[in-house]
Amino acid sequence: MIDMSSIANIPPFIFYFIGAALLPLFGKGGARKVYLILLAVVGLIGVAVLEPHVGWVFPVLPGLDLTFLYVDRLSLIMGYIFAIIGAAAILYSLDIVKENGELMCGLLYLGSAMGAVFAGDFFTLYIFWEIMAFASLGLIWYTRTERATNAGMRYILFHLFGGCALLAGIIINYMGTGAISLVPGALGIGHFPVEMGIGYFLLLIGIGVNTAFIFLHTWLPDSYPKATLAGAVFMCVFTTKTGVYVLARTFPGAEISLFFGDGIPFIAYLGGLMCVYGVVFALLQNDVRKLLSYHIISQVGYMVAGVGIGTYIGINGGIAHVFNHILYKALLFMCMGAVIYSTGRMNLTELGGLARKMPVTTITCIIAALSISGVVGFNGYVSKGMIIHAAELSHMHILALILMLGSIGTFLSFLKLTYFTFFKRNDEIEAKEAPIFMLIPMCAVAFLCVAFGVYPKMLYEILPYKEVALHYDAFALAHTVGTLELLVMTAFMFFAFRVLIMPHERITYDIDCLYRRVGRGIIWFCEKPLTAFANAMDRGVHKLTDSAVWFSRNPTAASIVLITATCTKLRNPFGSEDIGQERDQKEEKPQLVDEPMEKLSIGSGVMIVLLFFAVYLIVMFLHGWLAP
Amino acid sequence: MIGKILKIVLIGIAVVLGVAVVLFMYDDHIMGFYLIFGVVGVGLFLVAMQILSLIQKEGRQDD
Repeated sequence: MIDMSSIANIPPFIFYFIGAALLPLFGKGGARKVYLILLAVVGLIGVAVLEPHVGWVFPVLPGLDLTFLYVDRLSLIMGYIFAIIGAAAILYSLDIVKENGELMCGLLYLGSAMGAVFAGDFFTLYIFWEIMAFASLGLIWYTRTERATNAGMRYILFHLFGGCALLAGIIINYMGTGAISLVPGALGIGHFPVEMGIGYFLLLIGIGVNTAFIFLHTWLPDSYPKATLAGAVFMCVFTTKTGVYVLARTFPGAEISLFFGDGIPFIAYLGGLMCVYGVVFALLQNDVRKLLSYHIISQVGYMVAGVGIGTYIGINGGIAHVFNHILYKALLFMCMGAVIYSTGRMNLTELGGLARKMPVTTITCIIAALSISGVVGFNGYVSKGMIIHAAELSHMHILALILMLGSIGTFLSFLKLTYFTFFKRNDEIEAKEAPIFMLIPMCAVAFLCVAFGVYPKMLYEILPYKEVALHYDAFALAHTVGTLELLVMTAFMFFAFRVLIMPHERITYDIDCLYRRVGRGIIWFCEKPLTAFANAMDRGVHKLTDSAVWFSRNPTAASIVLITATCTKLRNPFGSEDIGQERDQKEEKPQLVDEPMEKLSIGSGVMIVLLFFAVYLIVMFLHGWLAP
Repeated sequence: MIGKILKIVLIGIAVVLGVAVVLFMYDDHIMGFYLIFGVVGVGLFLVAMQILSLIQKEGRQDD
């Protein structure tokens, strides 16, 4: 009989990294499909058998260990959902991804995200954090267009900046608190102690880049729509959610004091702002994947709010929303990928009339839209309700209203997406249903969206604070009726004001417009004033070295020339320049120096050195003697 | 342009009044609060979209 404890507790990233390394051996045919399906199953099993445990610890320096496996309830739920959606994304890729390199990037990305959530210390987490950035870059560049290449460059620049900030934050915090490990945690869940100061803000910025905080979010709607169809499914899952996970480890309920008053849970309110900001920009979009990208910012806002509230139910809500969001967002990207694959069109103004031509895609997309909108009976309703409930319990009523407002905007936005993609009349469009390997994961994930919505206890069982979660009643009458009222009125308003929400071919400006202007300014500064300054410095240094060379050829003669010049100047400091004398000196200067130098004997040289040394010793002795 | 701004200001005033009503009602959870909040919420998003459309440029979204 196999001892399960011996095969359990292998860090899941190993399966995916080895899987990626061996992939080229299987070519591009049927063998690759079988191999990838097996890999997805092994990955699922690898996570399913994990137990709360600390292992794979490698001492690097005295007092510094790298821990590659730290399993607690928080990392476990992240691992489950990453493995589930990783398997779905692998299945989705089988038919549409032709190049092994793209799949390898996807597997490395999945593996590194697993490595990050199961890391037991911040250095290990940082290693996987950086691998994630580079692996996901491949998913953008495999589109092989100029737009994608440029977007990839901006993406990696942003993430390198975030990575540097994170590393600096880790080191500064380590020097201040000595904290690097996430193990062991009080109450079974490890939290990382962070000291207020520069390290605190650098950590926050580093995490904020991946979590797409406002002002640090522009890489997301810029790059995700330019990724490959399968790449976008991978990308919508891992980066931002790993950011939320790390936020839950480091800044749950973080407060900042302003004007000597009570602390303000600024992370929670930042989440509220992200929630509304993302929705407003999503409503303006015409590109379907750009619309979905802005919704990631909005939905991550809910998670950040939950974590920022910081209570057990708030953290539960935030992490439950991570779980649910990964399901419906991946499904939405899969559906839109299927639409683009079948029609070759990605703008709402060019789409429409697909409901009859792509029925399975339509139904699954509607399920995902209802889930993200928080309609009763779908998974988004459960986690959104939990976060809003947590805000109300913490007396953050404004935050609760902002989050409800985000729900209205989300529903409005997805009414727009589904209506203009599938139901608006369009007789010109030609399309057929997506291939079976795209439809299978779409249907499976749609089923999970409904299952977790109808039977939320399945989710409560795996949340970080299970006991608290089990006390939450998602289907309380007032909450259910209130949500339905809100959504019905939103739907009514959408159809009444449909003309105002119609998609248009327009260029939308976000904050990145400012960054690009600043970037152009920096480039101009580097090319013009900075280059001019560098040239002047260069000339100055050349002049100085020339003088030094000239002086060193014959120091005695050079000294005479210099002394003569100085004396002449001192004799007549305010007089007009004697051009004749100056000319004579200039002519004399090289001649004198070029004369053969009077050399000292070695003994005299040693004598001078010893003299200087003796003076140095006397000065040091006097200094020590005079010192108290 | 001026007409559009005027329209946005007028709708904005209506929405602000709506928000005030919502905040007033929220304390007591009066019946139908969510219906009014739905209307006000959509109004807010429409105003926000109209304001942002002022800084949009006609043409295909490009880099």
